Amino acid sequence: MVGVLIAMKIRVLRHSIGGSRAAGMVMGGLAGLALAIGTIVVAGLDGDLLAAVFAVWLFGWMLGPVYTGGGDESVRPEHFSLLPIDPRRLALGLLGTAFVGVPPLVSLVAFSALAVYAGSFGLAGFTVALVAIPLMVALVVALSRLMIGVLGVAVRSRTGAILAAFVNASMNVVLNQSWVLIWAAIQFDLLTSGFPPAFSSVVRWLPSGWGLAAVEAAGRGDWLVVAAALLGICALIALALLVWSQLLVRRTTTKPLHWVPQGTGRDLAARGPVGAVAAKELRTWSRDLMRTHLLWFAVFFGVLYTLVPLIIGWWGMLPWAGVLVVVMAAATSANLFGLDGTSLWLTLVNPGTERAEVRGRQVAWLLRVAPIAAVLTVAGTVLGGEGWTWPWTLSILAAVLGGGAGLIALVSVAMLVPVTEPNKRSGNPLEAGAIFGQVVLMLLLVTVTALPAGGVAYLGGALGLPVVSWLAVVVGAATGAGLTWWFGRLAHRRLAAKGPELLGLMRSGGTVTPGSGETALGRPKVKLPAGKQALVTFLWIFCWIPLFPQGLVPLWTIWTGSDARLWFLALHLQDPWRVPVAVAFVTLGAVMIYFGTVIPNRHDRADPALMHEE
Amino acid sequence: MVAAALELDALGKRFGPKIAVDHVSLSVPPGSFYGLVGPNGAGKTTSLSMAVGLLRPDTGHARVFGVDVWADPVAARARVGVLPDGLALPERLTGRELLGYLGRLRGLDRETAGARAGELLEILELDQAERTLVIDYSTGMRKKIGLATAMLHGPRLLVLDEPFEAVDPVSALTIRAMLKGFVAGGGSVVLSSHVMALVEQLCDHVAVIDRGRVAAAGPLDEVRDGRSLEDRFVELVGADVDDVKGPSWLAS
Repeated sequence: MVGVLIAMKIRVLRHSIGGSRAAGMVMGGLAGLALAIGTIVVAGLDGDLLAAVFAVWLFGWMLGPVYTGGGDESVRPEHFSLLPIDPRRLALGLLGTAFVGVPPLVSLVAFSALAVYAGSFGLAGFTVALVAIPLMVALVVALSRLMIGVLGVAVRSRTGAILAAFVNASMNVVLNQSWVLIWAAIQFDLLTSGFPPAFSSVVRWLPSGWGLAAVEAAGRGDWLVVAAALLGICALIALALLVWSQLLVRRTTTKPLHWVPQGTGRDLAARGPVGAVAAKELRTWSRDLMRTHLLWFAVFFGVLYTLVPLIIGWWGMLPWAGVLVVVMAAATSANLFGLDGTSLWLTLVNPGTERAEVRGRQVAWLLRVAPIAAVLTVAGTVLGGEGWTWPWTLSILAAVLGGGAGLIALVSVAMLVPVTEPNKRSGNPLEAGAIFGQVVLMLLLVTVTALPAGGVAYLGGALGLPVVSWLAVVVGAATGAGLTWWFGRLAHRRLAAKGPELLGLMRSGGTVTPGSGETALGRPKVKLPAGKQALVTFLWIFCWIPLFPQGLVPLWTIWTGSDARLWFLALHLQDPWRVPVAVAFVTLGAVMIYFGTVIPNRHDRADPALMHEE
Repeated sequence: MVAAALELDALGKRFGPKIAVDHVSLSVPPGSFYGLVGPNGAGKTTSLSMAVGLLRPDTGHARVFGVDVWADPVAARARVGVLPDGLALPERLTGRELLGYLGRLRGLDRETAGARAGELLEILELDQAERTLVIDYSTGMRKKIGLATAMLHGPRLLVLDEPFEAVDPVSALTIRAMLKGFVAGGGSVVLSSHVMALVEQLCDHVAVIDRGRVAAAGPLDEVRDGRSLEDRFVELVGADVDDVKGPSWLAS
């Protein structure tokens, strides 16, 4: 049966891979391969470090599906709910399909680092490594599936959706704030004195370290530990499968209950069309599990992100919790129309309601986000800020609230991402679609909207004029209001002009039918040649490194006068060069983004074949 | 005594405060063509889902040829073919691929699965859409491919939820002929429908479900009691159709 399921998945993949997806797979595979080779290099250096890197691989597998929007749902358990197959066998078969693809192959390379590490433990160690490598790959894949299953069932209730948002946000924060851990490592002087013994044993007690522990034990001739570690891995795989198969049964034989609260926003609805849309939206924010999840994800992300630096005693991030919540909430809300699916037809058959539809959504988003953000900003600034932080946080908060409200409207109509229809969603937040690119773009754009307010606040600080500093709040509120109005206007005009195309895009779900070519927004998009496609993908994947870690972050560090250097190149240079180098990196990142956008656009316009096709 | 093809034994299901199905008991004799009718929201789909193992009941049992669906789901599923309402399918496969894989998952060998898939596609006239993925199928085509998955493994019982909804008249005739032939050969069919005339023509047994309960069940002639099924249905579910008026602003 496993064979049939695998053949089925390969066929589904072959039908759904377009040119860009194939290029993305190649680029992702190459990046993963680089990391895997890095792991093998680490194997030659240090056992503790290798165990820690394995832990990161396990973590990545459990988090990966959350990032890439859905794990892989090309072969779903629902498709087999009518077949006379035992759930445990089905789980085993579906696990088999999980090994099809690039990531498991890359992981196999990464875990083969065990064989390299086993070099210093003799033939016994090497033999054990050969057994442990496939087991470790099976383990990470099984735990990854289990994670998807748990999230999938847990989020079918409102409480579950909020809990899942918490877990999801914590894991994202840990990844994003790993520099704090590096910093802590430097503070505790780990690199010169080695890891403390407690660390060594912790990373080996984690399931990701069991293979390593088995190899080491084989080198010592401690066969009891070898057996315990290897059998432990097998037992854990079996346990994960067992729990997962039960989750599959629950998933296919129960229905989620929808939470219907008492009506809110009746007064709002009485205030004309905009109020009616806002009231509808407010209810949707609390009743649609996907939206509940996305909103709470932003809240938890902002709060946890600013709490983590407390580990190293830095309170300075707390005032920014509110701003972070707003930025993240804008990023996760930028598919506002996509999330509602084809219910857009209601707007289309009521001509003239586009403006109310957009404005109402903006109002509802602000009503949801602004109070939380304001409370967090005030509380955070009281706890972690100083006198001069107030104009900064308040002005930027006002700017991003307004900028966010404008951008969510504009981006959600300008680059709509089709997702599973609301009535067909299982409630799994992982079905939010391939919005990763949109989220990253929004994070960037919303940050840009804070620049005028931030600039004035900086000026006030530099000149030592509190009046100018406080003027920044006015600037922030003004740009915010202006952008909300202007972007909203662009959005409802575009909605009025392109409504049917948007509806068509959501209907087709961006389908690729064999022989019919790709369709997007009503007209065929020209396929880039493979080389250019790879270049564009490369630009989009790697532009963030010069832009953020090598550019903006060092600039911030120079500004705040911190003396930590970490891996920021600019900070290792002497003074006249530090700022220019960081600025150069920012420019490089921006240029990469520019060409990443322009190359496909130019190609699209220039291609004469398009005329013939239409 | 021969076991019933499908037996619902006091099935019950509650969604929050709403009782969707309230101790529904039905017995479908082998070789019968059984129609399930009822107003919208009466609990037809919920009952059928519980009967075939797609929704866990709060109370009661369902048996397929004497095999308890919830105690021994594997054996029960092997004996029944199901067309669920709003079915999930692997969207990015063609019809032939889908049937081929499902056949092999049902334990057929490659040749048999391929041959049956080809025959079903031909009968249901889906063989012209050889290059179309399921995701691009029309509603009627989805129904037909769903019907094909239900028949693929040669079950002796078919449970079909609204099989004729959105199907064009020509295809409907094909499907009716197929189902009639299946029953004539000793198979049993349970179908739900809103179309009284269709149920009257096709079925020899009928059950009327209303507000989660069985209002009447048995051989067609017994249930309709000398009148048309439609009149009897309206009487059973207690609707008062004579007084119904259109909206006041449209009536002038």
